[in-house]
Amino acid sequence: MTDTPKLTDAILYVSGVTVTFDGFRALNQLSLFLEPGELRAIIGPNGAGKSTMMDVITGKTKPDRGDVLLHGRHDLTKLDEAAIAKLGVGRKFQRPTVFENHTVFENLELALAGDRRARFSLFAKIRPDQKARIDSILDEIALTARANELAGYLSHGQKQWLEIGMVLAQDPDVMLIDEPAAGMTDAETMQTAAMLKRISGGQRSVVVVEHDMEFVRALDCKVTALHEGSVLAEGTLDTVSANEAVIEVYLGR
Amino acid sequence: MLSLIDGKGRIFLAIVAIVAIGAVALNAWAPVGSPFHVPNYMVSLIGKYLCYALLALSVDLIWGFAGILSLGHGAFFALGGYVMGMHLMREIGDRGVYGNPDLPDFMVFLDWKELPWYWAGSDSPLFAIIICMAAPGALAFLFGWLAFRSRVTGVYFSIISQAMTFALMLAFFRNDMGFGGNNGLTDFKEFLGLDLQADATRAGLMLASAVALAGGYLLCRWMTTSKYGRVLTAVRDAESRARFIGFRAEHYKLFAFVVSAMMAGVAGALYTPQVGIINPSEFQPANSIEIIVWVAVGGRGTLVGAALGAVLVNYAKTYLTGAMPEFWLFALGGLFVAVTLFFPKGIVAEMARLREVIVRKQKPPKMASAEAGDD
Repeated sequence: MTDTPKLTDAILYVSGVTVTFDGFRALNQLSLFLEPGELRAIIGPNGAGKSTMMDVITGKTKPDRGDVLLHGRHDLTKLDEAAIAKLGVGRKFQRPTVFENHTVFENLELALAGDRRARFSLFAKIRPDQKARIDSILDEIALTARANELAGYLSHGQKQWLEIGMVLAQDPDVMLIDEPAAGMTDAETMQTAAMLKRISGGQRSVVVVEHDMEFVRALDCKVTALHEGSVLAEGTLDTVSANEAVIEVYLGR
Repeated sequence: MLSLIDGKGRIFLAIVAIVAIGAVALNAWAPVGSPFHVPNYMVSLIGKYLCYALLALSVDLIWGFAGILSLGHGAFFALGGYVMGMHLMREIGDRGVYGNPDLPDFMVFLDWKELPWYWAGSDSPLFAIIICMAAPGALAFLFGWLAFRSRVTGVYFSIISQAMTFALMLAFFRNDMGFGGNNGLTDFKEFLGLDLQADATRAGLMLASAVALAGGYLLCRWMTTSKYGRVLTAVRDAESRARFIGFRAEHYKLFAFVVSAMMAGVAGALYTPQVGIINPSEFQPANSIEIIVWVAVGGRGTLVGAALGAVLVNYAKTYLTGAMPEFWLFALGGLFVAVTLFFPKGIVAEMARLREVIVRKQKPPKMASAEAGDD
């Protein structure tokens, strides 16, 4: 599909993607490359195209133009959500979305990697190794004590964690995490940043979209600033926040 | 995780068994005139209620657990009923008014010379048993596949399902369809060579309906307590979340929809010989809406409640259409409004809440008596 070695190296390759809604350009020639095991923060004002970018990568929105490749092989623009999830892309929504009428444990059980076909699910039983995996995720997201409660009873922040846990349970190669710290206390925010750093751990590629600059600083990773659907600046948080164009966009000068 | 037959289920299955077997026993052995005697019409009436209960279960499976509000489920019931009706017409043989051994009366009347191709095989009872599930299942598969694949949900799905049953009603009204036009199929004589008017046959059909209801209940329980059921409710509550996890929501919905349509078909097939007629009015949209009221009254997503609601509302219907016929539709509408306003979760959920209140109230008297003892 591509002859440049650089492209095959990138686990997620987004190139020249344009998305238009009724004449409004949500994404404009957006390009982004993600290394295997990389943790990346995406910042940008409202309407910069952060969520649309995630919609394109996960198959919810089809781009007008551009390529999106996973592992340098799979053309994600041709696939639907379920197929992309199966290939190894997990997503946490901006508004925490968990299965409120299921217990925390069941939420993770459903998210756990495995056969997704309906005819399989009729006979599926939890194996001991799956139970162990769920327990370790419960531990990671600090919800062990609430495993058997309905997810609907969790606090906002805990729902965010559960959703991160659900994405983790899918065992994806690329995790897209949309505003994980929204509505969290300062302590929870820092806990979340540490959690995401642990989850990535140089093994798993994680893209985090966030507004909270303290949180982004805590992530301590490469930062991409989006504006009007394209990349404005890329680099360390200090370089990006020192960038003239970024300052102008954020402060509105 | 959850056991197949929980406390509620045990009570439900026991009641179905006691009512069905009890009615048959009292019909056969209690002397006519004694207060314990169950008259023949009552046996068939119970059989009819059991069919409605199975139909309500089928709707609860998709509405309660998959969030699919079908306002056309009566169509699958009617299709099952027609398949059985076709077979029963063939069993009449040459005992019809025109005495034609091959063609049902209405075809002779229309001056048809031979059976249409789609009546092929209808002389076999096995045909009736298989096709009464296969035909509704196939229609549900086609309809559901198109709807769920295009992500038609919510009120849009409800409206097109309503349109489907309305279209079928208009089609079945036509004489050219070959299903007896607006008279439908009737004047049945026998099933499996047994006289449909005989007490034993009526008892047998009622017992078969009870077995089908119990079987349908167990099937629904098995589906909804498995991982499949957990995915289905996950799709109901947060469809896009389920998709992004990698579940093909349309496959899960389609499977439940097809199973549900087949259950409705079985209910229809058992219903036809017990009421003695099947006609296009069974496709009326109002019938399908009535099923929704049964399920809402009993308790959506509880299975047992759906069956209970079907029996209660139909008992009220039987009573009111006899006592005050013009009042029935107002009562039905009023009931739906009242349920939505006062106990939106239905009777079964309300009973569970009531029991909790009673259990809580029972504790203080114990303390009071202890205090009294101290004195």
